[in-house]
Amino acid sequence: MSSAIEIQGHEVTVPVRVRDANAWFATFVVDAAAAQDLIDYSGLEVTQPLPGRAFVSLGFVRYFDSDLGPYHEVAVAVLVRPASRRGRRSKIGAAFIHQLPVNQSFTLEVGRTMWGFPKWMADIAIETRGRVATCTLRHEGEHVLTLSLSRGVPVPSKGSSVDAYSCLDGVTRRTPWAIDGSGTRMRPGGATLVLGDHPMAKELRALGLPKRAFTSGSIDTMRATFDAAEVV
Amino acid sequence: MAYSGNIALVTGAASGLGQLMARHLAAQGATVAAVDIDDRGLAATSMRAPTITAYPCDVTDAEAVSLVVKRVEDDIGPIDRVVNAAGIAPAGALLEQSAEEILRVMAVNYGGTVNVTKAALPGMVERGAGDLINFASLAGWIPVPKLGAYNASKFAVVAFSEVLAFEHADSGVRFVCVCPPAVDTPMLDQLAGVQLFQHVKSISATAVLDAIEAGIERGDLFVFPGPGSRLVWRLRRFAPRLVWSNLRRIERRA
Repeated sequence: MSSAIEIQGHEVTVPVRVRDANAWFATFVVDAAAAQDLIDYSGLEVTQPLPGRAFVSLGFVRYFDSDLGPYHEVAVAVLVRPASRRGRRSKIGAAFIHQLPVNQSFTLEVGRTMWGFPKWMADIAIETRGRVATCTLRHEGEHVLTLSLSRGVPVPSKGSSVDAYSCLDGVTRRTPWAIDGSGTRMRPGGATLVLGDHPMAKELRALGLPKRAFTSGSIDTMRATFDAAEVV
Repeated sequence: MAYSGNIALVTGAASGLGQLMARHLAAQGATVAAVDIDDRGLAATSMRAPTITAYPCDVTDAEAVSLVVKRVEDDIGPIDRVVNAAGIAPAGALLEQSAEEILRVMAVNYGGTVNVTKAALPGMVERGAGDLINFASLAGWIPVPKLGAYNASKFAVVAFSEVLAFEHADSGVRFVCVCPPAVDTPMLDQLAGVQLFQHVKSISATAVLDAIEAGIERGDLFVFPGPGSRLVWRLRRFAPRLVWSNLRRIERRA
């Protein structure tokens, strides 16, 4: 993928920076075979932290200040083994981004063009009420999911680098992410998920969701850098 | 219910809470008219945000404000949320500040709110829907030494908002007057010389915006974001002398 592209009259160059965003996420332990079925199209392999089990995360983000403008996003990510790089295999897991609905056209176009992220257009309402943040995802009027997360306890915020994988139109790519932030909170459980009848909800149901979350968490002020994607 | 409207006008949108409010609304899919006197700041607010349009305007100029409101309604459509966030806070003892400066603070913080409200509220009342959000401050209730000019302007915003809400109680328009404590924004830098702010913990701008949305949903007129803000407000009402003795104690620590 190119490192500078022009979208809707704006030039976008990597690294793309996020200066201010709020993120929430919940991680579920699911059946590894079902998770593998879900992401088989990418040619990647799910990580099994416990035999027969895989990690799937659902997240939602409010981007306020970023090179991709202000927007809302929902992510479905599966923990995968990193694709072998020059013969060696990293032991650290990587995130495969399976779904990435967003609510603004600019970020949608950049995300698909620059990194091959599976972004598609949706209505994403994110509300916080006291200790609970709720995200409702709709696609063309149809309810996909509602995810409510209870606030966790403060944990140290440490920056991390993650490889994000995506697979669009049969091409699998790796994008290096660096994420740091302040006001990180975590807790066991803490998620309430309601699924609709949309195809994406059906995919999640095939993983055995809704169920109790393994952990959930939030980042008050998230900063991130997305580098150029490479085809793997 | 939460804001699900389409067209918002936000003043003070070049920095701080106004800028975050503009981005917050744009992120959730609204079309935003960003109003400020600072063109460069507005350019930053609307960068990469096709649904944010900059309308440079001095909110103290009633005529310019009413022209902008008309332009926004012609360009985009009927406004269903107005956010009066434009404000300045030059610090200083009242006798050390010129009368001109004190009145300037009043003209921006209170006069700006009046001008924008006069221009945009009639349309919302006529349509029977919309949100009017006025930024006052906890300093709209609590006197703060070396912040008298700002205090006076925010006391005015509080009174204006309360009467306005009363006069339009059954109009279908929702009124919120938000009274935050110290918030992490560029305005806090203007307050470096104010003793009190070296002893209070500031809250995040996002926390203020989330408190506003929650307050609107509950139907609250006054919103006090941040832990303890409401308690401080109650203390001021029921134990004003306690507030003053605490302020004196803090001043003495200087």
